[in-house]
Amino acid sequence: MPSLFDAFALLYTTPIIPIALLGLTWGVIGGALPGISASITMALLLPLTYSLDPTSAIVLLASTYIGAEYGGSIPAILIRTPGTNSAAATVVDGYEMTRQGKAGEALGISLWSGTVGGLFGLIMLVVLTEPLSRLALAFTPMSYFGLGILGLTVIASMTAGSPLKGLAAAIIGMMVATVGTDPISGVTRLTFGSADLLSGIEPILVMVGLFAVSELMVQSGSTGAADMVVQSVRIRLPGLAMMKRLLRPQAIGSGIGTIEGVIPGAGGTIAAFLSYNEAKRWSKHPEEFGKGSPEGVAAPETANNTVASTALIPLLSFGIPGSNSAAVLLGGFLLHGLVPGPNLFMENAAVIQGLYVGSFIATIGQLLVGFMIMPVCLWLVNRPRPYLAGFIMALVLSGVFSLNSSLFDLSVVLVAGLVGYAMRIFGFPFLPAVLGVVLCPLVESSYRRSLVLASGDHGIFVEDRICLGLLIVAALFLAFSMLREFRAVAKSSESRQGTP
Amino acid sequence: MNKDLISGIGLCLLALAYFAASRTIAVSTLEDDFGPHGLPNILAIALGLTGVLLAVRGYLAKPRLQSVAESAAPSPHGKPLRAVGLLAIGFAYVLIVDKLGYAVSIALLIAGVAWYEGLRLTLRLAAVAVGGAALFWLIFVRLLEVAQPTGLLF
Repeated sequence: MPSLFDAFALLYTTPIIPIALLGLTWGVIGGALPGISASITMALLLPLTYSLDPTSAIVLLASTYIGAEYGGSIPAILIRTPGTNSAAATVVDGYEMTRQGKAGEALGISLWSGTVGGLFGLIMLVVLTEPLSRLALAFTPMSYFGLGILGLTVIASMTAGSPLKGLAAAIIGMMVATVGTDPISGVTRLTFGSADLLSGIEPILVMVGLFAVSELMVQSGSTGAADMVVQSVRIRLPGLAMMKRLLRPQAIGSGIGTIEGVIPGAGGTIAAFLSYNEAKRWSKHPEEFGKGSPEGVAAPETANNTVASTALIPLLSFGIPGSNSAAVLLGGFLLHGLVPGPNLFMENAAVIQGLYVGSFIATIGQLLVGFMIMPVCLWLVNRPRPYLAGFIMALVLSGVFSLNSSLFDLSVVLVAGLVGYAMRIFGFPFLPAVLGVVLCPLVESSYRRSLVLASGDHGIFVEDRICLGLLIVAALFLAFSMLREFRAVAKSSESRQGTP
Repeated sequence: MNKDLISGIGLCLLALAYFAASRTIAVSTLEDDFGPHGLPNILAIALGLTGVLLAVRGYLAKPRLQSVAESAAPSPHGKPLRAVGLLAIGFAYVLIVDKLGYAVSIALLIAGVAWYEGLRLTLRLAAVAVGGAALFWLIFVRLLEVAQPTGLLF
């Protein structure tokens, strides 16, 4: 395990502090723009990390994630429009406090609770990741095949909406990953004679297209800034008495955020709403919820900031991202030739140390940056959307070109954006598709290597206990989610037939 | 037809097209038992099955009657044709950037998208586009030293 001393030595041997603060600032600004989620804010930055060293790149992306979780609460509290999905629960009491002239207090509670949740999540990340990754050291190619299949089925089954659509999205993602040169025989697959496709389609292009370009398309035609009424706000951190009152919802938010972060596909939004409900249930003043309760702001903000760290646990331990933002962070790892998992701890411990230290700086730093960046956020959310759309499109296309100096890549991103837009219309989730693109090479190569080891005998997948266990769990997940889906359809059909 | 039924049929068609494309993968003397076409074949079959299940689910689910308020509400996904128009501006940038160069093309992109999204073509818009292009050029070309297309003229 990377020692604490080694980790903190990075503070003065690398530019980790300015990088973390830069990522944090970008994250707060991106999160504060309604419609620009944490994953989109990260995806916009992803191509720019190419020119950085791996540690700086990962710290920049992780800090952006942390910043975006706080940034999302700013428009949620001020203009009743959550900047990110996970800030939706903050709207209820946050905006009510603004209406009562307590916008500064609400933002202060959000900032303080976000810091508390972020620190707790970070401790959980450090404590849980390394032991879990040690477990993965016992993995054979067969186990990795089982893990890949389990990751795909769990994400497909547990992401919001229909598990069938999640499964279809995962398969489509895998189809995209089969384009290019076959890793074992060297035969070209599905390139249609195009030299640009020989090396395949990079996951980063799919991510930027799905998350950022499709969001621009969705927002196309919505004119003007929101009906802003707040022109200046001064953040006020809670006093000692208020801090004491917030301890209970913060504890609830931290606990739920930890559990939801570790579960793939759950994410900050579910954690925020669950925490809000539980905080209300356990509060001494439940009647205040919905009417501007400080606890109603603290619980969801603690939860979604905890998730920002704990969602990285399955990513770092097994290489399976549990949320869209973690998937974009995985893109950052892959862009620098790093594969998350146990080997990362042994071969690139400095990156992990950097991630921990950078996240710590970003979490603490948000108390300072949160104050300083507020005027910029207010100015930005007041800008007409058309300008923002123009600048975001320019950033996407400039950043993507900088990856390989390829105009073909720009076309791939735009086509991925179109596919993402269609997926949104028809209700297909993105995360399984991204995971399909990322995990397909692992699944295919592990499967084929296993068969080579066993001279073509499929019994090797049953003989490997870990693989067998993972495949059984995957099959159970799939069966139960399908059963649940068809039961729900049958039930809704019956209830509508009974309705006159 | 409901969205699930359309999605299911679309997935089946995609599976068929992918399967047909995977038949063109060459046979190699170096390939293992599974071969480079093994996974594409499995994926095509899996997507086809998923498409059939989705279509059946869509067929079984009775269409829900929309209330007047629901049917009058704007779509959360915006207007598809308008969204595709925005994408066309992106493709136009791809076509012109190696001819006009990065700085000019990115200014046109910013102005074009902002105009398409509802702003009028004014001096202010032009100034923002030129200023934005200068900012992007400074960040990418000067600060990050990332090569951007130079074009025939600039």
